[in-house]
Amino acid sequence: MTDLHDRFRSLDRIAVPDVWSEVQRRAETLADTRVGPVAGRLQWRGAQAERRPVSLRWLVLVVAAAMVLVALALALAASHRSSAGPLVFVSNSRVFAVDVDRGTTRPIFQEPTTAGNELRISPDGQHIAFLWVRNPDGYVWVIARADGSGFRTTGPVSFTSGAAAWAPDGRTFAWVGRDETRSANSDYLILADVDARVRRRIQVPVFGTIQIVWSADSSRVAILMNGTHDSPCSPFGPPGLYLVDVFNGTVQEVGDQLRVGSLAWSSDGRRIATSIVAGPSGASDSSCDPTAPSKLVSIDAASGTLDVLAEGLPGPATSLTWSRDDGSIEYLLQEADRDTGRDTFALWRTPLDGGQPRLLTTVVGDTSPVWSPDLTRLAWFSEGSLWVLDLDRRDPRRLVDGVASRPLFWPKWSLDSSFIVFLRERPGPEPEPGNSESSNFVPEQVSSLWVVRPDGTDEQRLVDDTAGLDPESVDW
Amino acid sequence: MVDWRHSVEALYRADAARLWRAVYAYAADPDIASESVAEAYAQALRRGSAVRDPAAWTWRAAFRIAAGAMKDRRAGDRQPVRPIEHVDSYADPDLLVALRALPEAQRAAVILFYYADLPVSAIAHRLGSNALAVRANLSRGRRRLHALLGDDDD
Repeated sequence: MTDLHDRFRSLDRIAVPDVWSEVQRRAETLADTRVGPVAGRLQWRGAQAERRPVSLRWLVLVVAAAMVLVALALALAASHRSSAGPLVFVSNSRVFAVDVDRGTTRPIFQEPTTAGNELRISPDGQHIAFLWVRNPDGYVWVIARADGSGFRTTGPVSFTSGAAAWAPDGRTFAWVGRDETRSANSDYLILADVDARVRRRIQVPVFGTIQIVWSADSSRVAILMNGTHDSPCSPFGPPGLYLVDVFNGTVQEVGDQLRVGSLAWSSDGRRIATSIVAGPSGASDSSCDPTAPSKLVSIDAASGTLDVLAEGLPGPATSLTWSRDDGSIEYLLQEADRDTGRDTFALWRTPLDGGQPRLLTTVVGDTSPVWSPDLTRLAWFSEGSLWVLDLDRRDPRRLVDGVASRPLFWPKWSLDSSFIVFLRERPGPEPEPGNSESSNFVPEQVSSLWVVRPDGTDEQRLVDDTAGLDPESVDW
Repeated sequence: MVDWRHSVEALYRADAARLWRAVYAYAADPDIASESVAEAYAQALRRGSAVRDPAAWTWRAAFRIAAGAMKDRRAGDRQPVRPIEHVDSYADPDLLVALRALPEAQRAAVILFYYADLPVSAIAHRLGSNALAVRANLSRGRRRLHALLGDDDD
């Protein structure tokens, strides 16, 4: 099979003209005309003077002094209520941290050529890990959420998109990629400490789209190859499920090229619940039908054996989770409503003692519902609104309207389940008429970042008019 | 005070050649590549520190300017498609011809992925798109490219 990377490297043999003198001439010409809107101008509350560093310094000093005076009062107030924890996002290649409780947003990391995103905040909220790209190299950074100080891996690494996760203990960050300082043809599960020092490399036979899911005790990692949390089918290569013991470095494939989408570890770290698309083992990509019947299975992490809990499910189960006592598994099954053409999500509960699966409720949505960390509620987007289902009352409630339901952006819960973050969007500024130099810049969407409590109260706008905000980077 | 002109020139010396080749592969026209790269860097120079991420910004601007130029060219005299001018005989002519057969969005995605070695999220950032669309374009573009290059056995 042709290696497209090799063929594209042939482009490097093309001679390139030096147009720097033309750049300078055009820049001089532009100096006499107004230029169009700048793509990616960011405004955040309380920091309009960011372009004037000296003024900002005084402003920060004054604000800091004021903050010191009220710090004790805030700390006392915070100690009497739950904390939503830090929220982080990337905008225009800068990392920002939001203190939702105080309503403040500030940049904590910036490099001139940073393309870092896919932020991963540690479970204790103290560190942020992300990939930082300076063509053609990538480096994994781990920075402190408080002040942006941090470390990066010493050598250039490649990084499989989405394949990065903190261990639940908050001390280890793992990703799958190639370590360019070693064999360039092998992929490794790379484990790094909070100081970004690589602690261990475990060679893993995976490629394509990767998901890493840690067990609750941080001793094992499940690696899903070429399946996403909402679909077991991927065009990027063959499927597979691997279990890695991070202490002794053993790697075990479960079954033979299992097609797996969403999975969940039991709280004791001994079993995995997942659904497997029925069909021939090891079938080619083209045969994968994301709507094919699936089986709900429980996998013994030590032996890799499978127990079938339910068969003939209409499609893959998503948003899998174990009950708190590990006695049952709850999951969603997605189906298209024949009358309306809209997606419905049925919430099922299957006991592990051999009992029959039970339908809990059904909701209609544009995005798959997302569990709150305390597993008491589900949140999803539907027709431009944010909805929440309280599992005790099972009555879907529409919280707010006018939300943006971007692909790959789902409602995201705060760690303590007290807030949900969502986006609102509007068209960006039009190019200025009569300015031919800017005519090729199309209007952009500008986004505002909001939070609301799951009971619909305390709706707050955190950041507004953000043209460069990367919705996928939002994490907390 | 930051010498912005010096910074942009340093970026140009380090990155413009790759950008030019990427735009050339995208537009299949050396004139559009030169025009787009020069205009992108000129605007970056003029905008100064208002551009937060000059490296990403120049790529994004150059691809948009190239897309506009290609649109203007199509809407102009409707001449038959110009033959590819191989700027260097050592380049892979089959690849350049195959790229021209891809829709523009797929072409941009595969060039940024395979030539610029960018992850999907960074491609989305540089094209002003979203990761879902980039993944779809990348997948379709890759399959189409394999078929066009006579390597569709995957």
